[in-house]
Amino acid sequence: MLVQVRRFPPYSYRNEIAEFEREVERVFSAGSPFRGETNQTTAPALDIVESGDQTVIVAEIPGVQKEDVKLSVEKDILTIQASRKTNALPEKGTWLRNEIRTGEFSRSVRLPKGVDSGKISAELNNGILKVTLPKSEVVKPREIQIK
Amino acid sequence: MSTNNDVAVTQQQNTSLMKTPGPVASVIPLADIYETPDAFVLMLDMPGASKESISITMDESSLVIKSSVESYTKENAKLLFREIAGVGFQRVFNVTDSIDRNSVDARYENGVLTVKLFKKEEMKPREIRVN
Repeated sequence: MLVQVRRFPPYSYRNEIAEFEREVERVFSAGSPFRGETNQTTAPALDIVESGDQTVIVAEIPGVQKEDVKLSVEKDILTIQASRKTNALPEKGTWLRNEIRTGEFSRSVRLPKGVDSGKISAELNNGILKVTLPKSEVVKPREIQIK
Repeated sequence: MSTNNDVAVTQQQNTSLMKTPGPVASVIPLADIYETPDAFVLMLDMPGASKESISITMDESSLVIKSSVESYTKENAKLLFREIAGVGFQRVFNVTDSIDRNSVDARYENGVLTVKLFKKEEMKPREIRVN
């Protein structure tokens, strides 16, 4: 079982309270030259799925380019960092709605025991980051033969 | 950010007005919208949507954007932690008849759907020369 290390309030599409708070924040920060960007780091929503020989961490980071994602492991803490650029407004354009939050995203997860950190792989597809943590041979379930 | 669960429950009961009518099992994608002299551009966060399932339909007064979400869970997988709703997206926008229904551009990239609605020729701003 993984233990969550939460540094920031989780950002979830289902979290309507966070949504409301963001709306309040947006209204009161209207006119800021850094539209949509706050200096507060947001935590992307996560799913963690375990199957036989691997654990997969899934994070929602829409609008983030591959080169703007950074994954790091320090001891047993995996950190996902992403930076999202604000949508550009063309010349003669006017914003009618700004709901999308941009800027820095970060979330840390404590890795389960027996993850081979050298074999961690990640892929970014359609705004979904999938980090695959293969289990090392030692902790894979195995049957013991009775002699 | 409040972490009090009691607050969470009472607040959630009052949010029904914020929801777009439609199936319960969908998430309202967040959107950025801007207007230029010749078009309206909508950008919607739809992470994990499958491109084939995205449908954009426009009738006289509304634009409906829908999609389902690709499942990433394998069979026999155990969900240890869940925050992503993973059910699909739906959002309805009101549109006026200034939009040319025959020319709509859509592109899905990095989990963001960009829809460009062009204005009708006669609705575009025109400069009038003073002779």
